[in-house]
Amino acid sequence: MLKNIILHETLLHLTSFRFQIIVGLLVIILFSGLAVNISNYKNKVSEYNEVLAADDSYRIAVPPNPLCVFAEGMDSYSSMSVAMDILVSDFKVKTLGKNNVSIRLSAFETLDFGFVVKVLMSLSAIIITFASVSGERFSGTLKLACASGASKKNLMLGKLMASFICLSVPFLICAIISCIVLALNNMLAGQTDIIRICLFVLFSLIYILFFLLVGLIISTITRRPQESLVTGVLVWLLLVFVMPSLSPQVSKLFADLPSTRAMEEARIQGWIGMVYEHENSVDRDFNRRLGKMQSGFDSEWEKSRNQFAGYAKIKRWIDLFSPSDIFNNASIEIVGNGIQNALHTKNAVLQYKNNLLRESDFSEFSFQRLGFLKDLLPSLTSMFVFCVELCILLLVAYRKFMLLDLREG
Amino acid sequence: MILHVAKKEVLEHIKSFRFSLAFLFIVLTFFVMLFMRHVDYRAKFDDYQLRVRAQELSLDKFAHYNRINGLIIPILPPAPMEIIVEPAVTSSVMESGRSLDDNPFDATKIPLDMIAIVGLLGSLLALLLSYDSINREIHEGTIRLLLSSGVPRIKIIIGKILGGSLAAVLPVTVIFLLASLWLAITGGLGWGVNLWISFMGIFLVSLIYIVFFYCLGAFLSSVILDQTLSALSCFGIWVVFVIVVPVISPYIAGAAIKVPDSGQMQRQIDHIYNVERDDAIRKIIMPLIAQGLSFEDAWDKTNAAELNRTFQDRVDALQKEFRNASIRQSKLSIHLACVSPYSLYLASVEELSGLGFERFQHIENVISNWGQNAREYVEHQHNEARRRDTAYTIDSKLDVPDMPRFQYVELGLSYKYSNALPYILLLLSFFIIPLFLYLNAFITKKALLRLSFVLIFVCAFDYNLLSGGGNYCKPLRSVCSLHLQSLAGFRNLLIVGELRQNLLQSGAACHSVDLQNQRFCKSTG
Repeated sequence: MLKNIILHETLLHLTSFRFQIIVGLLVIILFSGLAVNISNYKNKVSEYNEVLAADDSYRIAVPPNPLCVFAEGMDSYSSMSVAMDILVSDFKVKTLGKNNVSIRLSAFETLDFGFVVKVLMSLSAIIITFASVSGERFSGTLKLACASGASKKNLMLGKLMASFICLSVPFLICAIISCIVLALNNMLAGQTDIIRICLFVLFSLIYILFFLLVGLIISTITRRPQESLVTGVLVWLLLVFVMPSLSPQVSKLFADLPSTRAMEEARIQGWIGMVYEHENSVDRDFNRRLGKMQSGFDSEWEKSRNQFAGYAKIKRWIDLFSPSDIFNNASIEIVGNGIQNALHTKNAVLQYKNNLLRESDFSEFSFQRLGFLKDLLPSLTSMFVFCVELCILLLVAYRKFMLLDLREG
Repeated sequence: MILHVAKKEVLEHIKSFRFSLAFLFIVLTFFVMLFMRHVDYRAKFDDYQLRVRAQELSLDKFAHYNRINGLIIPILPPAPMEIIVEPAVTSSVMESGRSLDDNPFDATKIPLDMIAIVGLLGSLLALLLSYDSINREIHEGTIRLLLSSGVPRIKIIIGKILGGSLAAVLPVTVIFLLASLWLAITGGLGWGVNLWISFMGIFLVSLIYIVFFYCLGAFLSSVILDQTLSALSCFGIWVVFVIVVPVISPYIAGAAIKVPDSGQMQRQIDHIYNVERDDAIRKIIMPLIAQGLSFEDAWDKTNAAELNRTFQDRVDALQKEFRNASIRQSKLSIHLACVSPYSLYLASVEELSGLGFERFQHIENVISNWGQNAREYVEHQHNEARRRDTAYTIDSKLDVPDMPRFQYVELGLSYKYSNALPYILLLLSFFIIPLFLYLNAFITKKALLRLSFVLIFVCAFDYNLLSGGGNYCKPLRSVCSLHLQSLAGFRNLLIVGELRQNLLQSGAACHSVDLQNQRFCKSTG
């Protein structure tokens, strides 16, 4: 019976106008995003190579991550060229491949797979499922289905699985084609990258399933399909837009973040004051005081970086309340563009600068991303919490569906 | 009769489940947003005051001609409007470019402000109220009753638009009222009359925007008889307008207009200043220094200043080329996004609040004027000190008590309105389309011919506005590399000092000193 229901529901979806529109839109956006992101990545790589070829000892570069095509995350932060003035610990940082200031044109900026899944696929999941129960209940076909011997459990599972198949199959096909395109462009480094992409796709499917369940629950608790749609869209906005936009601000309330601009300026002012005093013979113990000042600033920066790490931790905890943030964090971590890698990049640049200052190491700057397992651990933790949330949602959906009173038309 | 229909429509909407749900959602989100942004603004303001104080202190104690550029950095105060509107570009980027210690989370940040609440939630509410305004009445048969009672169609339609729009703008009106109340109570945030007038302008634009979406939904509900399908069409159009078009437009603009690589440009500038200029000036100045003349005297006796100017001109030309390409690209991305009413709304609100694209040009001008004045003042003080005291060097204390301090003055009200006007007019022209379609679809059902006339008119109007015709649209100038430009001013100020140091430290022979030598030279001052 379950198989029949799945088949019937799948056919219904496939032949519906909305499904065709959704899939068409998703495919167009996914592939145009793919083309744009590959071109952006190539620009970054060419700039990276230029910096390397420039033979400037004070200019270093961090290479871009090819998997930014899937989830850009903090790659625009990490992939950078840095011009150093080691004396005053001054950095001129430039994002690779970016020659313009970002102007805010939209609430969502990037056009990668992560964006499509997080924003568009979740909305599609709500749109696919909003009428699955309330629509049938309204038209009376749900009563007929139950009267024909189909159990409620089978009906619910059938509807859920059919919607899942309809959304996941086009997405999987797009992901496979994208992988082939990336491989043809020599953007896949090896097996690890393939595993990362597979995990990304797996996370995406779980996320889609989550929103299908949300849609199903809403469809079960509302009486008319229009009500379901209204509620579904508002819930989508809450989960995908409002909660993620609040989490950085809420985290700041719990973490004391110092002003890095003020600290930067204080360092330059301190250094100028020190040199001025030295040159005007006010200060007779220049080297000792310079060293002391430098170490003072270093410890202050260290403290501020620790505070930021604390802030990042608090944010991660707060993000656990928002499914969209959980997915976002997990997906960018797994492709290597998460906060861990961003902080790792910053530390690598600072380490290099400190080595130069302490005259302990004058070798070329070389950068290694965090290993696969280090990326995997936080993303798995996030996804574990997400799966727990998913199970709770599944139970709620099941219970709501079981308690559905079919006498109410 | 129009008023009766409108009244019925308003009451029907207000009593509905969807209205209550969306209203509650919008108001709650607004409260959270306002609280968060208020806290954020306070923190930014404190930070600003702290930085200004530190700069003043260091200027009093350590100002000297050689390194005064490090002590004078333009510090932008947070604009009071930032409490409700996120700036198009953050202040830190405009002050000194990107930093290694920037918050990495900013790369994935989704801003929540008044634009997001009205632009995303408000427009959605308008569609939620209107997607079944006609087809539901057709299904229920009430429209027949209404028509058979002798009420002309035009009156029904105007009453429906009036009533529906009133209901749709109600939450927006409430949140604007609450915002003004909050701002009035908290006070002390520098809200003068100008800002309140801008605030009113933002409110009016928000109303136009919401009514546009209401008319769009109503039009779709009159041409699509199935309620679910009309709801889906509404959301489809909403997704395209609010999410897809604004996200895609910068990419298309980026592909159409290429901007030169700023990193490469910076390297070229470094080469021009540090290698070519130093070489050329060294050649003419070092022989005189070898004869026993001081650096300043040698500089004055040769055409070094003129030579220096030619290199600066080359750098200026490079920067200008980069800047023009950036402006063209940004212009195009904004023009492309103007296909979407959401982007028009965003641009008009940003410009009205003085935090939009035009602010770049303004800030650039303010920094440039201040830099010019400060440069002249420092030069004057330096020359005076040289004249007064023969022992004076570029490393001696320089008194700069009256030096013009950087003070950012907000854009004037007329500028804000003139900058926002093209976008507002475009939004109004967009508003005409669904209104006209709605009237046609409901009254005659023969909309095609009239529609084509309206579309031609609107397209011509839009093209005229965007291409700068009719003196409405000021050129949308100034983007990016502002930090380069602003710092370049002070860099030029210190060229003489830097050059002197380079020459005296590294000698006439070589530039390519190794890392250790450079460190040694620099650390010994």
